Amino acid sequence: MDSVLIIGLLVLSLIAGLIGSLFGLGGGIIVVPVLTILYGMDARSAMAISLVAIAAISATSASSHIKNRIANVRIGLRLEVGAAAGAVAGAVIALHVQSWVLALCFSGVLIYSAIYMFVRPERIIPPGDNEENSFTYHDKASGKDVGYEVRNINTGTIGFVAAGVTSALSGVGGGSIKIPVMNVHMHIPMKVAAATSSYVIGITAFSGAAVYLLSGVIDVQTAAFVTIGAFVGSVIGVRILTMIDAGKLRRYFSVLLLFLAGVMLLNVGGII
Amino acid sequence: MNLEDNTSFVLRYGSLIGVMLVAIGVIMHAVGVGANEEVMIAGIAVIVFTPFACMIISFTTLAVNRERRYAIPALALILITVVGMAAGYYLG
Repeated sequence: MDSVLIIGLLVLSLIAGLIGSLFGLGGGIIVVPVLTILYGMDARSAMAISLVAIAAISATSASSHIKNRIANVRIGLRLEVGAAAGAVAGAVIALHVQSWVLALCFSGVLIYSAIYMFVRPERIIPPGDNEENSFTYHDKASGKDVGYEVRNINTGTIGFVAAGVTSALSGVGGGSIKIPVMNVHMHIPMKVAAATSSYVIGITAFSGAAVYLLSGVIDVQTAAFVTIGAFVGSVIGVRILTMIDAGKLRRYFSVLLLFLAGVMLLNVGGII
Repeated sequence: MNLEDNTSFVLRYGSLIGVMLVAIGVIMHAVGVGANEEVMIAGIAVIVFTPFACMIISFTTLAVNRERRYAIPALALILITVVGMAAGYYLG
């Protein structure tokens, strides 16, 4: 492989790893278009490499977030059941619904979430009588322990089902739906939502990545460089997430959601 | 048993070992040593299967701690994931 292409791959995956670990997104929205458009790779191969990158980003960033008690493993596992079931349902729905219809709905949800998160301040419920759903994390940026009570777990799980269906149909959208569901609907603090999303996106990516790996369709050399870049980017992203102000993180995330919605709408319109 | 410590341990060492194997494979390829692709594949496999190992560890820890409220969803998640993977492999 040409050295310029290798450097390009490393830079691309480093950016994907940084954004992925900072915001709890997979980074597939960056990896797939670049590999298909700039590297001339077919969509299936690009998707396979993207899933390997997501697994690397998730494992690297979630290990730190969980060790630092920012990610909520219990809530993540419980909600992810919905996403996993949704992904299976999505494969069935794909046979009956045009993917552009869902992409349009998905874009609408992203735009609504982005505006809501940008305009409305974060609402965290202080721990109350419900001890089972009350948790605490230490925010290094403010130097304070932040207590929060998780609300609406059952309806939040339904939101995760929708995230699973959407990501199965469109190939993106896991984290971009899961984080607003956790932060806006379930009142989980933004940093916890992003860190928990970092953890669960690895679980979501596992099935697909394992199938591609066992089927032997992964371009090993490209995947190797993407993995190394994603790992380095994730390490940087973890450091930034720990130190960044939660309010700023929420606003930057809402801008990113608008960008994702724009990309999806352009894709639906056949422009990209 | 502590859920967070066990989960982060598996993720940390899974990602580290996987990336190290991938990096060793890349270096072997650069200097022209054989079997470099097999080493890279081994590294990628470790990274891909790390989240699954993590689910198993999380479920085991929750079960040992008798946290049924979260152990049952964790088991359900493992089953759905395995079924989804098998379906993807055989039907995809």
